[in-house]
Amino acid sequence: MKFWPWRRRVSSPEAGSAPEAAALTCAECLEVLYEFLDGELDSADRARVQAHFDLCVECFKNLQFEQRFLEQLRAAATHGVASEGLRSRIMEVLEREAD
Amino acid sequence: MSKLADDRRRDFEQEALVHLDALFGLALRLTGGDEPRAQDLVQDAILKAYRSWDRFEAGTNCRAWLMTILRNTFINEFRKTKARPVPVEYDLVADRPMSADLFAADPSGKVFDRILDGDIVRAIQDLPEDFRVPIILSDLQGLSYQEVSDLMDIPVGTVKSRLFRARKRLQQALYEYGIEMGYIR
Repeated sequence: MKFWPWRRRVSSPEAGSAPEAAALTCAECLEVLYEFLDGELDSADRARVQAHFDLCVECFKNLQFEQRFLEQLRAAATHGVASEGLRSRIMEVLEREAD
Repeated sequence: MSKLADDRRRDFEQEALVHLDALFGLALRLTGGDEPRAQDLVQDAILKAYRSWDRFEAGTNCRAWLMTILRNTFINEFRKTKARPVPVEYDLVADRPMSADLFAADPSGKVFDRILDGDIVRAIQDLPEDFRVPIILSDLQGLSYQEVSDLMDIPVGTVKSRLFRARKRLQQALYEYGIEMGYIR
C-alpha cells in the first residue's frame, strides 16, 4: 500500500472527523499531482486531491499547467517512418527465416 | 516454401508489417534517436514476433502485441547494460534548476501549444536513458508505475521520482526553447 503523509494526520484520534473530511495542504496536494494526473491514486485519495483543486486557485493553476504539459508530451509524435532500407532488411530476414 | 509457410508469411506481412512505422517510432524514442540501434531493435522484435506468430490470436490488437515485444526486447537489453554502475551525471539531474521559471512566466502553459512535436521529441531524446525510458513507457505507452517498475526492475518509488525529474527537466528544456524562440518573454 502506498504511504501518503496526510494519512498520518487523519488517523490521529484527535482529528475527530472522518478521514474523508480531512483537507490537504497545498504542499501535500502538489506532492501527488503527477500521481493524480497519471491515474495512480485510489478513489479515496483521488477524491481528496480533487476536493483541494476545487477550492484552491493556485493549486488548480498548477494542475492545469501540468495537465497541458503532459497532453503535449503525450501527443508529441510517436510515429517514425521506417526507411526503405529497413523494410528491405526486414523482408530479407523474414525470407531467410522462412527457408 | 510450403503453402502453409507461405500463408503464414503472407498473414504476418499483412497484419504485422503495416505497423513498421509505429514500431520504428517507438524504437527511435527508446534509443534516444539512435537510428541504427532503433533499426536493429525493430528487426529483432519483428523476428521474435514472426517466430511467435502462431501464438498471436487473430482479431486481437496486433499493434499492441508488437509494441510489447519491441518494448520487452529493449528492456532486456537495457537491464543487461544497467548491471553496470549508474553514471554520476544522473544524480545531477535532481540538482538542475527546475521548471518554476516556466510556470512563473506562463502559468497557463500556453507555450506548450506553440512548441513543435519535434522539439519535444528532441528534448526527450536528450534525457539520460534512465529517465527517458520511464517517460516513454509511462507517457507515450500509457503503462502504470507498477508496470514500468516491473519492466525496468526498479522500485515504484524510483519510477515516480524519475518521472518527476524527467518531466521537470523536459519543462526546463522547453522553457529555454520558448525563450529562444520568443514565445516567452
